[in-house]
Amino acid sequence: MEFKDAKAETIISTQEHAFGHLFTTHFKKLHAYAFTIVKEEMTAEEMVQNVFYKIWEKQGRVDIQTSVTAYLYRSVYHESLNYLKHQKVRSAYQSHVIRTSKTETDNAASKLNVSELQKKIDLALSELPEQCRTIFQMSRFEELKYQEIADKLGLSIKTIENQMGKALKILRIKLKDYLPILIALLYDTLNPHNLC
Amino acid sequence: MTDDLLVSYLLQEADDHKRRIVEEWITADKENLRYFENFQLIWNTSKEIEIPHLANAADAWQRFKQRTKKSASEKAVVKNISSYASLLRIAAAVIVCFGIATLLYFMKSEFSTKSVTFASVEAPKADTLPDGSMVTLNKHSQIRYASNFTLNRKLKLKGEAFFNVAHDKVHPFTIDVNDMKVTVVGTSFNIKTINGNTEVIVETGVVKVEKNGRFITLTRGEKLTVVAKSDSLSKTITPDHLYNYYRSHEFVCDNTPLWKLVEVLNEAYESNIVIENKSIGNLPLTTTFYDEPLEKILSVISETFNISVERSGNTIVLK
Repeated sequence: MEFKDAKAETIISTQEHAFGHLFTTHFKKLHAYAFTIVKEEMTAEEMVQNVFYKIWEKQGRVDIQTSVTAYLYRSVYHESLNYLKHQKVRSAYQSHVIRTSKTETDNAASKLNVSELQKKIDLALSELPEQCRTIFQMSRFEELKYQEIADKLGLSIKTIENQMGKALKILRIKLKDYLPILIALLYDTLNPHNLC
Repeated sequence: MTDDLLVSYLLQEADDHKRRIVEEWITADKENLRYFENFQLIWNTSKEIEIPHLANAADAWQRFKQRTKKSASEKAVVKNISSYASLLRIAAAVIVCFGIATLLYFMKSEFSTKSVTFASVEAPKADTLPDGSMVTLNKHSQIRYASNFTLNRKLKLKGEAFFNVAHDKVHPFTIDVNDMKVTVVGTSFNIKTINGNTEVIVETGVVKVEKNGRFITLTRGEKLTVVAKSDSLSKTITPDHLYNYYRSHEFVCDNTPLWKLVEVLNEAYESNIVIENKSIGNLPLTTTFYDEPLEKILSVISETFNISVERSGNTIVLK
């Protein structure tokens, strides 16, 4: 992304009252966002806490390019991805622990009977670019209209439309091999004669 | 037909004009319809990716403030330590603060809430707390809490204890242990501290553990071990029920390696059993001992594995 102007620096107030307001108004949504990436409630909170902590440490002097909301989402996204990257390295070391507890994990796997497609979507979502992912999040999980998202992120409604189109397009391509099979299955379950 | 337009239509963002264009396109060809249905399926399914009940924003803000306060005080110390004069100033300030704190402490304990201590000495001890929660202390352990415990379910722990926490959503149950904070609503779990290290094992429900701004959630059968001075929180699955011995009066071994049983026996009987040969240490044992004299347990082990038990002074050697 390019920015023509030397940016007029926006400073987030770290006065307790103002900062607390910023924190509490954004916390739930950012937490949900982090959760869709890291899949663990406490870790998700840690991600959000870390983002606010960094802002606080820099006394609010952060590089806000479009809007404060966009900055927060972007930071939570990167914080969460960094965490996952870190985890991947760590999990290599921890694999022996997992092996020793095999029976329990087997159990958990059978309990977690999430639909295959859902899992694939989840996976594909994690591969969307940051802005695309954030906009998808706001539209899908926060159920905001294009206009509302545009206002919050300081973007044009056209950009939101493009990004949503892009998001679904990417998901569709990534799930391509998967979709026709699923639709066939769906028809099977709809038609009782095919069930034995 | 652009994807942008199709998606706008799907999300009901398209105006009348665009809507008509899309509808015409969809009805024109079966392939088009299928293409659109793919988007629809993805969109509908993605909604089901579960987002559970998430933490309260106000509570999270309190945790955040705590974290900033902690680091602010750390920074202050680091900055000022350079010159001798400021060191003296700090010393003076610390003495004054300490004086005030002591005074306040005595005034507070005198006039407001008193703290209650429940401790065990030579043997495990069980009791019911004012809120109905049950606690079993292992020997040489203690908990301390304020007399208004039902409203303020916070306690400090030294040693080892098993908690069966009475359910009360409004008043979370918090345990301070080795710089860590363990929070629950209603659940049962074991906490053990030894040489500054902490071990938490969850039997039922969910337990949250916080240390220096880091968090982890434990559920049934999970175990967390935190080493003193380390901030790393990572959990494993509890391999056995041995930890429960002081409450159940049973040593339940289920494919348990001998060294592990020996570790627990040493703790329970304050004995000093040593495994001389490492290969013996990994021998798996599956049995249950019921509150028997140590001699008897050792003789069962000796017979099972065909190993000898020798005493030299206070030490018992297995070979």
